[in-house]
Amino acid sequence: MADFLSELQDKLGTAVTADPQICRVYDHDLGEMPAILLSLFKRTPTAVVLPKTCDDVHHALAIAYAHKVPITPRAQASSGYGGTMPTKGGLVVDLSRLRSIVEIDQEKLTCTVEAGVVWADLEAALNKVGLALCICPTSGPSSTVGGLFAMGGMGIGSMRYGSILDVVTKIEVVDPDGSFRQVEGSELETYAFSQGTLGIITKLTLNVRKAAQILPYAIHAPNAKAAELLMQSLFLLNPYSVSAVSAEYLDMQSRSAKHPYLPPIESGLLVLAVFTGDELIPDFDPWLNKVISSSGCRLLAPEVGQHEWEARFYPMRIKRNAPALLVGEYLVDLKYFSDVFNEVSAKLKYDVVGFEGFVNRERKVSVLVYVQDSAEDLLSLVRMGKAMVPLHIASKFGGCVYASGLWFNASTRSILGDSRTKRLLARKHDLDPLMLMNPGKCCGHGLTHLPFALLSKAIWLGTKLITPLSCFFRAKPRTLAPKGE
Amino acid sequence: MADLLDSLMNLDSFREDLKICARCGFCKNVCPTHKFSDGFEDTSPRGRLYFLAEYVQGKESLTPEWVDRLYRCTSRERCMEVCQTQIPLVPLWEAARARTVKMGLGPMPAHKRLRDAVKKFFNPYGEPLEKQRDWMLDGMQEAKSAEIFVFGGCTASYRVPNMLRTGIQILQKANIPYMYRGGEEYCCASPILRTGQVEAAEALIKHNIELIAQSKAKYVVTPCGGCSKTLKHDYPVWAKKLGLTWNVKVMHFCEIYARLIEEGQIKIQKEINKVITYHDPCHVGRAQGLFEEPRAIIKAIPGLKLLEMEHHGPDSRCCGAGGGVKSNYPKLADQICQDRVKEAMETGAEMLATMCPFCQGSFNQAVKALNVPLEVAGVDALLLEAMEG
Ligand SMILES: Cc1cc2nc3c(=O)[nH]c(=O)nc-3n(C[C@H](O)[C@H](O)[C@H](O)COP(=O)(O)OP(=O)(O)OC[C@H]3O[C@@H](n4cnc5c(N)ncnc54)[C@H](O)[C@@H]3O)c2cc1C
Ligand code: SF4
Repeated sequence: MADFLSELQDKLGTAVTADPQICRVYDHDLGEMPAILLSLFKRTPTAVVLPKTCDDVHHALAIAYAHKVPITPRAQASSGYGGTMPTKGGLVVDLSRLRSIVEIDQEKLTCTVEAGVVWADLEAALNKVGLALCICPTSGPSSTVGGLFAMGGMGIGSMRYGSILDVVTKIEVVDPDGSFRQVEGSELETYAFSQGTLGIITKLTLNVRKAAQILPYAIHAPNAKAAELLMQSLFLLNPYSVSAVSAEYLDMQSRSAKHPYLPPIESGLLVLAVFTGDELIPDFDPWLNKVISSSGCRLLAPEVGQHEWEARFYPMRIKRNAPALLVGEYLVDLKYFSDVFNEVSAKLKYDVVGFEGFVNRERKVSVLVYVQDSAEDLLSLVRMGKAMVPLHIASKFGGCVYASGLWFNASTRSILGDSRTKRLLARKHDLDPLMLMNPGKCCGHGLTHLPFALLSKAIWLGTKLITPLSCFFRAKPRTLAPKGE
Repeated sequence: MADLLDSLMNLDSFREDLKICARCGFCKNVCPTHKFSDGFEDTSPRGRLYFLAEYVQGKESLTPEWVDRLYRCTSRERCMEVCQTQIPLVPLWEAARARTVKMGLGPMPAHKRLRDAVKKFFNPYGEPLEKQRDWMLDGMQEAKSAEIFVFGGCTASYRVPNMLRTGIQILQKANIPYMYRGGEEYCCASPILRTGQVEAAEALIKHNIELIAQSKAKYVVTPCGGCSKTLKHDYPVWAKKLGLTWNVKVMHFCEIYARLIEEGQIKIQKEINKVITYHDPCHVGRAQGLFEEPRAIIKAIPGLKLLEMEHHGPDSRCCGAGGGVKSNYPKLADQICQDRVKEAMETGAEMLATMCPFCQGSFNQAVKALNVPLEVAGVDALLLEAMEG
């Protein structure tokens, strides 16, 4: 290790640190997992490198690979599946300083960026020249373009433009051994969702759109079935983004706001349909009204739509009123949205504090279910099983987990399907025979990966078994008043 | 209420806040000191918060390095503004700093010097109180009794007097009497409180509360962002703790000007044909919500053209001077300030206007260091010029 560190420091100087106090801050991501699970891993890296150029990434990986040091790529660590948490110590590559916007092509409507560019910064730069992002995750104020691609995620705009894989046209990757590679066309599929297991993405070229007026409409759906019908019908109108939240979630949001307000609906769901001024279909208004009324829904005041649009980056605000919030997440066909919603609501009657779902153009909906908890006591570990209830129910309807990361690495196949998983595994085998790139995450092979795969399976089965017990215990709801007001 | 003060200064009372961090990283992306740090996560608000959460649980200890990191914050408050779960981050850093002081690990050397100066001279610049009125021009005469009490503040009184002077000139032109107790006024305690030196703040605050109470003024007006924030937000809490009465309305000078303009008590005589950009001082803008008032003044001056910087209003960047950063980390403060000046230059404006002497002082230095053709002025100076005809 000493050789490795001195070589790395010789090459990259102050971009490298092995200070244990600093390394300690890199031992986690967004997810809060039981201490017992966390204790299974060597989460604190030996060193962290902060590349400022793509060449720095090349040097860091080449040196680490030559010394057989495990590598964990990390952008802004805004994901919660354990992807940026080291499992075997080693080197964390912090990509947050790789943030140049290389080129914006106003004619071709594309841009090329370094992987650590934050979505919000890119949007600001595009807006200056009359362009805008096609999609943006709701973590846009912090998360990176490379991070979303590595997660294969989706976001606002995915209803029209699809997932990040549909938007990105080319990437530059540094292989585990440090060599550069350009990836485009069908090969991109292998890299989107690879979560840092195939190498480090250094640059991406992505499609952008012409900026246009945003028109958000808030629609009240009396129940999940009506919301589902509405979301299906909205496809006719070419919306930019469609999302739905439950009344309980809105109630929590309104109480958690800096200046609390009355929630816009008391029951059912609020569907936010967002259109852009440049792509309105002819006779838009009558069509919108027809779609809304035929689904048994009701258009809310324009201010509600505007307010919900403006609050789009703050899904976790409710944590102020539910400090120990458990979050369950799943992806399911839109046609089963209400089935899963109703079953989860019934099963977690006393615990669910809200649903939040985003529709994509493949007619799938990614849903976050927020579950109240009070983390500190001994039973909290048992109660945590509740966060898995939505996923278990969704899986009965053909649904799957949204991302795999560390905790769900055994579920990769259920998300990607057989052929994509096969290609991913084959590539992993070729590029990383020693399993040094982000070990334990998303995909792997051989004995090195086995314990991780077993753990992931154990989490799945264990939570399934523990669920009846979990649901038996309720947490005492607690709230936190805004401070310093 | 006294409990509130204890709790604001007590790190343990933030335990719940420490737990609700969603780890989203929104704060990291707006933090000015993180931007100019070596870039590792420990220098970001999220990193500091993670450390503090571990620390209050006894899993980490306060090392000199962590103490240093806790002081690298300009109290810009933008992190609080964007925080996913509304964690009162700046009060939290202040409570953490107070803890370091209590444990004898903090503050930083320059802050200790500030405290020593304040204890001896009642201002952080170590100037004798007799010099406090030196900024006054001939013909400036305070009233024995008036509704308005002008609180000069140390930076304006001893170092960058323009805004204080202009304030008095404008009041006089509008025939508004004011009281002033130059020579008796103590530091508002802002630099002491912001650096966690709570114990040293008490005597200063007590003195000022009593001084202002004796005057029987209705309004306390000050040109300084830091003073107005402290007088507005900290003094009511301290007054309760000390068993004193504090029933004055605190105003920053920009509030007075905007009101006088609206009421027609200020007469504009001439056009000023200038293209300017406006910097929202952190302690005036985000801390007090005064975004409209300075712009209303600018709008009232014919000929002035305002070009906003990319980051303005609640999203405004920092001049780098606040939170004790300028005194202990001057290089860091300079970097932040020069960055802001570059942003101002990008607007194409010929003048960078602001409403806080501390910001103005920093900008003057940054413009000089960068050697750029950008005038720096107070919005009040433009107003006075327009009034003079
Ligand atoms: C408030 C909030 C809202 C969110 N909204 C959404 C949403 O709308 N849609 C969504 O999909 N997710 C969402 N997320 C989750 C998360 O923000 C996304 O997954 C995001 O894309 C992660 O980006 P990041 O830059 O933080 O990457 P990280 O979390 O740092 O990394 C994610 C994974 O990718 C790997 N990685 C990162 N960068 C690279 C790279 N350059 N090369 C190779 N591997 C890399 C890491 O090893 C890790 O496995 C949200 C999270 C929060 C806190
Ligand atoms: S913005 Fe708030 S919730 Fe998000 S990481 Fe920073 S402190 Fe935590």
